[in-house]
Amino acid sequence: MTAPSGPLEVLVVDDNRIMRDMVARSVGMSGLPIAQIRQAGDGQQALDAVRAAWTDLVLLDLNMPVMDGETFLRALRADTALRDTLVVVVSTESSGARIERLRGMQAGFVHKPFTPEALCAEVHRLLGDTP
Amino acid sequence: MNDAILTVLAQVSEQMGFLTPTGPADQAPTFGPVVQVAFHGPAEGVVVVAASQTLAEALARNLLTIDADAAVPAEDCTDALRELANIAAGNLLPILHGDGEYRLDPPEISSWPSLTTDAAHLECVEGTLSACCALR
Repeated sequence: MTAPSGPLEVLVVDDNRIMRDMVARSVGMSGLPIAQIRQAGDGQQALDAVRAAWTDLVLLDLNMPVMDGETFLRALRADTALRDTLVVVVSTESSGARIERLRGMQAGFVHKPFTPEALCAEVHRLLGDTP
Repeated sequence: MNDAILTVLAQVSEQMGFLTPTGPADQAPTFGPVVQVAFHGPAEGVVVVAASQTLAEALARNLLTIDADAAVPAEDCTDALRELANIAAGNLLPILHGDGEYRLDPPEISSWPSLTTDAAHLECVEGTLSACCALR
């Protein structure tokens, strides 16, 4: 997994538009260099979005209709062109086994409710930065 | 159980909704949006969350950064409560029914159940927030 060299193309994936906006605002305030923040409402839309346009970082909910976040992550990691995309799961998930499974797929994890600082710290950790 | 629900409601309303909890309330709000989140996994059932209209509007204002003097559409109130209910349910289930992999359905508009034993009511500066958990 290599850190992007320029401003980040970010995709926020959540079925609730309010949470998408909150996550987008949080990452927008992070101090990270952001080129663009796009949004998707479920895993299938997210898969279409990352296949249609370059994406550096995906901020991903788990419980979503149509395609859940874990299925999306598995599909992303199976795609040779997309497998190195940075992913941070932003979820209420508390199951240790499931979180470990997500981390095993090289995803970061932030528990809801989250603070912008926690989200930003996890993004920086994945990018190999010191916040 | 009710203490656990109250604790989670206070935490989620404060951290995610930027609301100001003040302590337990006596009863569920009589007027305002209600949503439910069905869950599946180690236990099956629903978490129901009700907000007074004033609290739902404050929640939507905080989450959507709506101006204080602007009207809040009913849809925004419901959507804001949906997200709060989703987060509350996700945090409650491991406490109430043990660790495990729960799947949550998308929150749906609902009504407050007439008979509830496992319910908690939280007073906030902005209004009242209630939640209950029922197994199927």
